[in-house]
Amino acid sequence: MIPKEKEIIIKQIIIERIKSMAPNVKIALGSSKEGFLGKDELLKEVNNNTVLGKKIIEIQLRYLRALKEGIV
Amino acid sequence: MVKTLFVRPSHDDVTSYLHYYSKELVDFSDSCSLTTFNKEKESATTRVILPIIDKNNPSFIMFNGHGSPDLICGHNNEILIQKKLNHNLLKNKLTYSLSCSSALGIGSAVADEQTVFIGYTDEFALGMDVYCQASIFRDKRAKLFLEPSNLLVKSLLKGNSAKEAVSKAKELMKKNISLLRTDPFPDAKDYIPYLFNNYAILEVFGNSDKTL
Repeated sequence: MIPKEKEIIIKQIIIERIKSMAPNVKIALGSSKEGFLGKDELLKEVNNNTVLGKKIIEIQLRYLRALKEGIV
Repeated sequence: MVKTLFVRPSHDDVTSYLHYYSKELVDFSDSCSLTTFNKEKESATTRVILPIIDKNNPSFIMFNGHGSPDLICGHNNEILIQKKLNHNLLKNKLTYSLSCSSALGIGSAVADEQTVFIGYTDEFALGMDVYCQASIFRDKRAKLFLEPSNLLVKSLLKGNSAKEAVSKAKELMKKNISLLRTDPFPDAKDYIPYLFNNYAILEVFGNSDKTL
């Protein structure tokens, strides 16, 4: 369980990462009805704490952890 | 004679990409002189797919499309395989499901010594370049996501074990992550977390030493 304060910081880091995305990038995640999402749509999902938004945070966090641990 | 079945819906942006990329695999299966069933678009529905599995008993099935832990869907998201209802249709076969999360429920339910299920235990991610949306074949970013999946299938069709095929796909995912890291274009870095996601969630259930 991540403490609330830490969760807020993590969310902010992910938001900043998404804000820095190039305009031509779109990502589709799983079976979401939304299809491919650009940076603004990804930001909206994260800001609104939707299921998809939480998944985006999980994916970004998994990558950052792997980077730190030298897995990738 | 080994029989293969490719289920290839195409009804939205994501399935259009999967449909396009899996065409190469149908051709590859044909070139390996395997009896190949290619069921695409309106043919990727229960009415067509389930009788083929039942009557022709293909050794290998590739599903492309949407899914969830308990479901694999076909064209227009019609449910083809549902855990507990008909997942036993996949028994004694080698199945690769390029669909979200289906490995988690269906994969673990069907797995045994005679059965292999390769798939994703969470949401499969697909990246694309907006500038190439109108012509999928030009989208080099999407290729980085779908090339490893195609390598996995080709590896199985060549006779490699499930374990070897997954290992080759993961190696290519890592290579593609490295390519993105050194790519000078500003969009490259944005795809990496999502490609790494696919690397982390690709798993084999059942007898991983099984070959076709």
